[in-house]
Amino acid sequence: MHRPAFPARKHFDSSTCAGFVITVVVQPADPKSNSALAVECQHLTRRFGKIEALAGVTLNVRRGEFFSLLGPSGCGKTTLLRIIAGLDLPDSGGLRIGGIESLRLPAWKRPVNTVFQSFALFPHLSVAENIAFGLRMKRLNAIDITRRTTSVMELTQIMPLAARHPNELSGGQKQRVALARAIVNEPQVLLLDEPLGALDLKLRKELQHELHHLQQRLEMTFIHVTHDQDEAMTMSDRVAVMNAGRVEQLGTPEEIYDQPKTRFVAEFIGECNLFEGKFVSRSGSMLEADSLLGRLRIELPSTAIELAEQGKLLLGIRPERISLTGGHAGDNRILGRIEEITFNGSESRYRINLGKVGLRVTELNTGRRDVGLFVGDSVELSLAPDNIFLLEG
Amino acid sequence: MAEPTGQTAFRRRRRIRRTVHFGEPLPPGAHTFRAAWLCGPALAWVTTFMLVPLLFVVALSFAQRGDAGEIVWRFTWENYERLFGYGALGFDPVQPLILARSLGVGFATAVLCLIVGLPVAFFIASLPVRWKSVALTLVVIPFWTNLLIRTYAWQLLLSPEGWLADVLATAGMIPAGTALYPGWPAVMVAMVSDYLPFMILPLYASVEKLNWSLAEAAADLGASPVRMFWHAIVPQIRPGMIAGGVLVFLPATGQFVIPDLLGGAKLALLGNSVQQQFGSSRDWPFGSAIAVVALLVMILGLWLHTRVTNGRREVSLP
Repeated sequence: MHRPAFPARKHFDSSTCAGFVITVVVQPADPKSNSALAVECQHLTRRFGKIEALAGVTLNVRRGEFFSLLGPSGCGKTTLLRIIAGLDLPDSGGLRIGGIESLRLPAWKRPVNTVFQSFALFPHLSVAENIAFGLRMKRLNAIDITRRTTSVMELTQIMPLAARHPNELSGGQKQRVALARAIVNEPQVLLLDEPLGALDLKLRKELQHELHHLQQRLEMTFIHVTHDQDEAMTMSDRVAVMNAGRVEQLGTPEEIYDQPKTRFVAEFIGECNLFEGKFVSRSGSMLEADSLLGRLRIELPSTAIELAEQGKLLLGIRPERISLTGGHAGDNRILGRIEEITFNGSESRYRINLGKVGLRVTELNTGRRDVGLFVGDSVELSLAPDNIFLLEG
Repeated sequence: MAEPTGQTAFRRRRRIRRTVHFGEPLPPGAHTFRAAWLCGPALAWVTTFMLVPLLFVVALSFAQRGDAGEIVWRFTWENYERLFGYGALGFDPVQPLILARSLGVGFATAVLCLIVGLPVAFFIASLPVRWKSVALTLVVIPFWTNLLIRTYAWQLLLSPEGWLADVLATAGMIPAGTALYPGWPAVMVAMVSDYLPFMILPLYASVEKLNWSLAEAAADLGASPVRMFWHAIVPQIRPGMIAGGVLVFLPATGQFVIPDLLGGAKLALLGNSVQQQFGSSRDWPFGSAIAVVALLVMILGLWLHTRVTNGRREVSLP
């Protein structure tokens, strides 16, 4: 194979000059690219035959954040990633990377790199050659290539594998090589397409942490595609939950968990009790509603208040936010009967019968609490008004 | 850290195979025995009609030619000396030139077939499934016609009255009424068109298995389309390119009908000169020597090739 001759042939054109910045990631001089947004997607749509993979996706990714696209398979998240990488073209919409209109740029000119789900390592090249590939394409000189390749291999702890070929690596090792091959180019945005999808659970947990640390150390923008909510929640600064080609909700993991906007988000992330209700009255941010659980007092953020006055409501609460013992003054209190108890080690799951409706409740087994509850017992549930959320339907 | 070398990997693969044949366990060796029986007819055929004649040719190449063209069984190196240019009249490069020219023709045919065949292979691989078999059949159809007939057809096509000459004359590229043969261009055109299927079929098999995600990875890492093809596609289809190259190079090197009919019998090649020695010159020992050397050169080429491709695992930082 062709290796760059020394001294290197230096071509200073726009696509290669960024590669000569070695030690620090310096933003290009173009003032537009100093925008705080790494990626801006505007109304991106994409159809494959009759299937609408993207139905108008608009989202912004901030510089230096760990951004996750979360959704079930077929929700369009990988299509979106491929469009950002330049491996696919949208039917309509706009895309800016680092403030620069990028839809017309071919993949090889975009300042992004991808970690593919299948890793896509070059089987005919060794680990070191795989990692050096991007730098060779930028026609860096041999000394720089060696130095940067070596330092990235040290960072990802794959130095001992340098001489191996991809078919001699385990899944976890391949994953590291794929990651190293992408970050060695110091892209403005790193795209990760289910990077941990092909690995077993233990390795996945381990690499989740490493990936998170790496991102904080490099201060690089990561866009991460996954269908695993744990992965998205633990690693990300912000998450976009996607379904059927649309972004259902975008926010920090806490926002998405505590205040899901739609039924899909509430059910996709974590467990959830859903029930219907009817608007009764409102005073400030406090709302009264009738439901199968009886009259409930609900405290909503100001953004959701207007939605609530429409009449019919879809309400939800997380199982662990319902308390079987105690609670605070001002909570909604409901009587029920325990129908089933599932002991799960750190927590116990209860199914409570409320007559017309059942609720799932989770209690942590802290040891401080008297677990004097048995099937058939009557219990008083307390639901804090601010733990109940309102869904868009 | 101990790295597994290629040799340990090889050793690991070599272990005794317990054979179960259609549910019937066989003692070691029995399978080989059965296989030998089943191979018997084919083996006998190859031995009788290929190996024995080949050995006869090798022996013949060390014999002498009598005055009347008969074979005189007396050992001599004379045939080989002549072949490498040292005849009774001092150094004469005619024979080495013929050898070199033949290898050159074979190589050129292989390269041209590769250049022409690559787009075809990619095109067929991109067709919808049911059209693929149709396209492959179309590629193979010329084989259903005899080579001689196809070559005569080329004579017609390339003749002064042929439409090809007409078009070129109208375009002002050649004077009207000129034949496009005999000559090297005519020979190469016919050679390429004859051997193209040998190139397309293995190439297609490689292209069909192509992992396009590697091409995407290369583009993602900043490879322009040309470099992407070179660094991500070519390494993957290299087996097909090599197989096709060998399949074209070997027969093209020994081809004599096409150079004879379209080259005007002026351009002596290996095939022609072997044919000539066994035919009009009645010098069987010398003809045998040419054949043996040609065979050795081709085997050498194949061996070199395997060496090169197997030795391609060396690794270093770029």
